[in-house]
Amino acid sequence: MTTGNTTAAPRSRGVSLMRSVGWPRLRPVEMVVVCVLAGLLPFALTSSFWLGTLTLALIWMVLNMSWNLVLGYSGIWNFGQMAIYAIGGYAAALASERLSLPAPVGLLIGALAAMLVSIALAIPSLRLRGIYVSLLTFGFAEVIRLLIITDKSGITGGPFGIGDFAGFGLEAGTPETTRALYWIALVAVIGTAIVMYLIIRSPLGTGLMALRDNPALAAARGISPRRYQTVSFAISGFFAGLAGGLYAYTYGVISPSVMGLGPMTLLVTMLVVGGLGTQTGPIVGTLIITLVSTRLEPYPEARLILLSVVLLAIILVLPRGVVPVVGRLRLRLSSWVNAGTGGGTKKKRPPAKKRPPAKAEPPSAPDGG
Amino acid sequence: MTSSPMLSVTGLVAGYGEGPVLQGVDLQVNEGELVVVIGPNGHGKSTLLKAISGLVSASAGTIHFGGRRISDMRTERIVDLGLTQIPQGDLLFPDMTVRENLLLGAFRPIAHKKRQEGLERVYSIFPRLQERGTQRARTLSGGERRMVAIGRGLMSDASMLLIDEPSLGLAPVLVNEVYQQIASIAQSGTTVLLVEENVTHVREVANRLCLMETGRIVMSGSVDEVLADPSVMRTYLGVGD
Amino acid sequence: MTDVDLFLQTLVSTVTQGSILALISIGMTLVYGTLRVLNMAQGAMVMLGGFAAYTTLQVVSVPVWTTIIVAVLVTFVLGVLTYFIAVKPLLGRPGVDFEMTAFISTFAAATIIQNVCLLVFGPRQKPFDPVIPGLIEITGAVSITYHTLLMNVVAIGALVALGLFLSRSRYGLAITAVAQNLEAARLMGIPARRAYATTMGIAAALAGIGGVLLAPSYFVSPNAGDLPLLQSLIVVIFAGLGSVKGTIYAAYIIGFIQSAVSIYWGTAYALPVLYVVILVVLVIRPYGLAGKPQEARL
Repeated sequence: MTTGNTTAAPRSRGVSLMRSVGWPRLRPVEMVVVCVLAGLLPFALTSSFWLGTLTLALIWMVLNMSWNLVLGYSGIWNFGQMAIYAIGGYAAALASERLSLPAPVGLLIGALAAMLVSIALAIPSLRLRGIYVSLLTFGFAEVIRLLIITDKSGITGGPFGIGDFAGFGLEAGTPETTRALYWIALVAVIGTAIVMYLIIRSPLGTGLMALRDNPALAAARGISPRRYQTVSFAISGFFAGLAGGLYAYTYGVISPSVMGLGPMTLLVTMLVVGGLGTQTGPIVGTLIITLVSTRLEPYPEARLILLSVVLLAIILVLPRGVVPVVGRLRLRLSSWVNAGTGGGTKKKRPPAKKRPPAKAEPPSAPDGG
Repeated sequence: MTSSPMLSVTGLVAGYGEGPVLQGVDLQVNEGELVVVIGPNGHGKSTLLKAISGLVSASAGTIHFGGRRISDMRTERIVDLGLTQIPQGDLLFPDMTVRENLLLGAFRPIAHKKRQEGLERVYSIFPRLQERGTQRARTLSGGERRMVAIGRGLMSDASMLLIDEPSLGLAPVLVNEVYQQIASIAQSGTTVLLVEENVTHVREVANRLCLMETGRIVMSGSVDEVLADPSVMRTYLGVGD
Repeated sequence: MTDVDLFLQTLVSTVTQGSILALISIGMTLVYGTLRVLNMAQGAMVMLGGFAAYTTLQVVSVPVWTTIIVAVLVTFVLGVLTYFIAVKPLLGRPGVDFEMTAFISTFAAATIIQNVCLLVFGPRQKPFDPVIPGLIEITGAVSITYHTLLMNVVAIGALVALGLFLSRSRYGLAITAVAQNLEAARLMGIPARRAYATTMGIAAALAGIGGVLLAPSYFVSPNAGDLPLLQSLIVVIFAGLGSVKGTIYAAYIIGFIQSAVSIYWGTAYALPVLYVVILVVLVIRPYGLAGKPQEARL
């Protein structure tokens, strides 16, 4: 990521790290205001349809933030997150259905179950190089999905899923319930975002990013890929499971339809559009795509086509997502403003789009002369 | 048409690193000549050949071959025109047999028609390759690989060859053999541009010698002229010839 | 059923499943070997082949075997198109992880194709008649349909043709060369980008043939490509990406495992068992049976 500041070296380095993770300077006041506004939203927005849609979006934000930790920050090609999400949902649903446990306990069980599965998935995955991980995890997700669909034992309810459990125990359909569900999801999002923020700022976060960007150097500095990345999988699994549990309790049903190529495409699109490896990316991406997707609901096939086209277009044109672009625009704006007031800081680095170094096809190793 | 050089490089700036590797190279090779570019490692010799062959794009300057501007051409078109490179380190196709490697050297349509002839010619120059014909390239020794690389270059029936450090990694006995072959290739009329770090055999083959330093050709002339220059003597010939 | 019957049935099933798996998976291996792209659109090509054949039959009445030709043409074109739209724009771009981005872009292309078919044809499965009806009895309890025989003949024939193409023809050798050493291939005058496009076309065409052959048993529907995609991923993990020979062996081994488990245990267990096998293989040999640790392109 390019930065513009040349003054006060240590502080600007910290600032540039923050910008590079897509978190423009931490502004606690702004954040609190946003949270409060979000919290007050249900009173302003009376349509329960839109509130419900936003609730779903919030649940997806939790999932996407969890996914972002592994895919974006750790650079691991985990494409099995939907199954982890579903497992969390199923575990939470079963906890409520079979053991009649109260909601917080159920959600915790869901999150823990997902975390354990995620750790189990990490063990073989971390032994493999990039693309094999994607095969392994994607295959894992599909196998889980098919196992559930063909399950005749009655535990998972096969293709129809589980539906008859108490969950949050709220009366279905009332405006109070809709609001309550929204707030529950909102709290989850805020909590997850805070946790993610703390993680990224912590040695764990910097270690993960170091492993992603320069594995040799990271290993030389004693950062153990196994340990760091397994923790990444674990935390990611926990929150994915939490999201799954929230989904199950919010909608009162969990079924294999939450997994599969369709939902995965949707969520990957959200992540890519927002920006992998940025803090706000998952949030922004989820909002944008949810709005687009909901608007197109009357045209189901066109909607799916359009969403895939969006994914394709974004990955080709803006592979880093929207958030970094906005970040850069902000930077240009502020340096333009600064230049106007005479205290200009000149941008040292050339603009981000460099000419490719060779007529080479896929990037070839640099020439040694 | 014979007055203009076969290959003409003007003001070439190319390559990537801390700055451009080539910083304004001027070089000409006339038809039938064998020109050698010597110079310390890392100063751009390989990059020069890569740029000529179109593997690395130039940010400034031009390259002409046979009167045509090839600076922005794709590699396959440049090869089609009859300008082939024998790259540094051989770059063989590891899981293909010797024969398949050689046949691929004749991919270019003109060469493809004559591939049987070409194969026979290469086998007569390097009989050992015929013995090893069905062996996979990755199982060959260093010297044999070099032979395949040269043979592959010959298969293209090119009018000009670019050869990148033919002595690299070979024992002196093999280097002798290689240079003998290069000499006879040149004698048969093929124009050659060769880059080398090791000046030992240069005298035997070169019509002209150029010295490359920090991405530029800083000296050019006959072998005796260049090698007699005091700075060159210091740098290269200090350890005896 | 006697043990001999079961054995025979397993044998037939192994060969059939293996051949089809090989047909579909080889495309994946070829594309990965040449382009370093995991082509997630292979499944969609299988599906498309089926639809192309089905549509042809709806529109003109031709002998069923000619629909294979149509399927090959349609999928070849779509394969090349996928290259131009989803892969070519990513080539040589700095600062972008090519493999991951291409994974996602071909995945996006696959969903586009799938959803367009959904839009055009609707979600329901379409019936498809076997090319030759009828069956032969081998023993009292075991029989093979003519269609199964045909499937094997066509699939194996296609694989053999591909093998000859890759090792004997000028263009096939060129594609193999690009996979083994891109820079050297370019220095031979091989047009790398045309090779890329052709490879993706061939891979798609092979999958398309598979789609037509599978149509009678799997039916033709927009989701028909999902399972083949998963299966071919399993085959190529097992084989090690990029190894053509390895893929063929792996396809038959996987075919065997699938058949044996299905026949002796139950179809539902086939996939999970397969997955466990893969897991074990990957733990022991992280690059698959024959795969090499492919770093950045050679």
